[in-house]
Amino acid sequence: MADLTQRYFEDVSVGDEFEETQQPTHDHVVAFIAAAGLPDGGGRFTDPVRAKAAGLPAPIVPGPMSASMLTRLVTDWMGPLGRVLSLDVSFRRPVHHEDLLRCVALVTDVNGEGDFEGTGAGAVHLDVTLENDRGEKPVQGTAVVELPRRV
Amino acid sequence: MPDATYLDLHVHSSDGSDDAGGTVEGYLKWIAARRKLGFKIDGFVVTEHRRFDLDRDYSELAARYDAVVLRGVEVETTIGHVLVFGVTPEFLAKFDLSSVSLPYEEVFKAAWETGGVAVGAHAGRPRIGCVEHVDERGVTLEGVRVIEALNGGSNDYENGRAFDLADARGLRVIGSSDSHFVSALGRCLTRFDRTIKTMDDLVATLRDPSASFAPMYLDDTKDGVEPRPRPSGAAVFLPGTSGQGSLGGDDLEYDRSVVGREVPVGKFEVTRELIAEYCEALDQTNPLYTDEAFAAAGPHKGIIAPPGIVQSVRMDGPPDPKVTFGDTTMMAGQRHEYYLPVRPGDTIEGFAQVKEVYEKTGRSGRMVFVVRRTRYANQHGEDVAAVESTSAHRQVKPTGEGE
Repeated sequence: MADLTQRYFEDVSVGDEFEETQQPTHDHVVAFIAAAGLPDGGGRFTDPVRAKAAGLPAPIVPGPMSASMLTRLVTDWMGPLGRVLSLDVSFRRPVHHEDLLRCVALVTDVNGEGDFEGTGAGAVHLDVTLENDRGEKPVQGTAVVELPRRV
Repeated sequence: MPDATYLDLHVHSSDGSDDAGGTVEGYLKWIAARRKLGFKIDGFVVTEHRRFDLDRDYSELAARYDAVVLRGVEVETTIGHVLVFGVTPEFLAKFDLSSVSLPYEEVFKAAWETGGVAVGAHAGRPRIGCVEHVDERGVTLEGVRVIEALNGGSNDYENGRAFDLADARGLRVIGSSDSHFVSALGRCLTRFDRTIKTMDDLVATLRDPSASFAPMYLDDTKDGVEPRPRPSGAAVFLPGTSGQGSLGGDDLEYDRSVVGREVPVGKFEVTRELIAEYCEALDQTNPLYTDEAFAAAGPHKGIIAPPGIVQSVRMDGPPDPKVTFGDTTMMAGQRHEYYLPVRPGDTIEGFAQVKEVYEKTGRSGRMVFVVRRTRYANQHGEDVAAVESTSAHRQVKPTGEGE
């Protein structure tokens, strides 16, 4: 469930960190592929045999699903009136089913350059990362969001 | 007691590295924030992948943050990636930096002879670090004096075996973060026991066999912190690499005529029902998308669609660049940009193009990247969103004989 608590620009500073834990299962992956209308990637997301043929030790979590976990981390944090301006992620290593993932976001910049529907709200820059429990960061990227100001 | 200087010698920025999200100013702001917490970091060297722009200069920007920002380059060679400091027009004239398999002996020799210095990057990394090339192919490391043994993007095992190689061969070692994103800056860096303000200072120090410098973790730069021991190369943890893939060398073949050609790829109408179904499937509960009354009182004066909806309707792809390399493709990255709200009643049309095709080498060997961009416009001709996907072509099965 989305949290209806609104976050405001004035309450955010560089260095703020927030995170969620995710553990995508085979069933989650199947459901995501169906809901998002994704191509099945030649079976590499769900089928061990076809994953091996693609050079992978086991089926992997689709990139867009990893991106969605990070999007969700950010949208839950910012509240309903926040707005995602951009999300840019690179998939550096495979994410496997059942991986215990820390989805981490770190505020790297806050500035008044945003323009929240003409109300002059600010842009918040975030580094976003998926970390597995093997010490790897398979997905890394940035997001820019706009938060309203407290009036 | 001479002044110590703490520099991160290997950093990528969005100014020149396709896979980096950090801006130079973002890194500088991060340094300011880290310093407030007691960490020591004086500056960094921007080392973009496979390109060096002679005209770029960050010194004014750096001065505003009381930091040093210098520039080098990270090139790709037959023993993996190599950092070059003190890049001159003379050095640049000798090589095509976009190549992914430059002859390493010539790169190290040319850097030295043109007054600079080359350093083996992330030496312990599979394929793109020099350790494996020494272990498996008996490479002699001719002209190699310094390697990056502590790399912020490598794991402890990879860094440990880089230190082991340095011990065995009497090589000097540096540390750096290999940051692609702001918050990774300085995670590993190098402490120099002298003042370094310019590229000339840095190059002279790295070339001087009697100069004192050592890699370290950012955490250990705080006063009173006991330094962490250097990582071990004992194979307690083996990274999951395929051990397949070649470092390439063949010319990149694809249909260049399709690059930049934008074509319409599909159209759909946004309805309240479509928005409701999408929210249901992806468990989107923001009332801006689902609650008429809440949305009417909000900034958009009515229900809007979740931004991701533009991607939920299948459209065609851009013209095929017909890349001949590799036997599999993977998604390597995605960039989403959202400009304007999408509302019920809008008609959204997609326009797609192949933006770029290029190659590079990574842990899994040679990769050819294709960047596809789709922009989505509404019935008023306004762009509402754009999505860029990068796919990587790789060769995972051994090819041909003699490999």
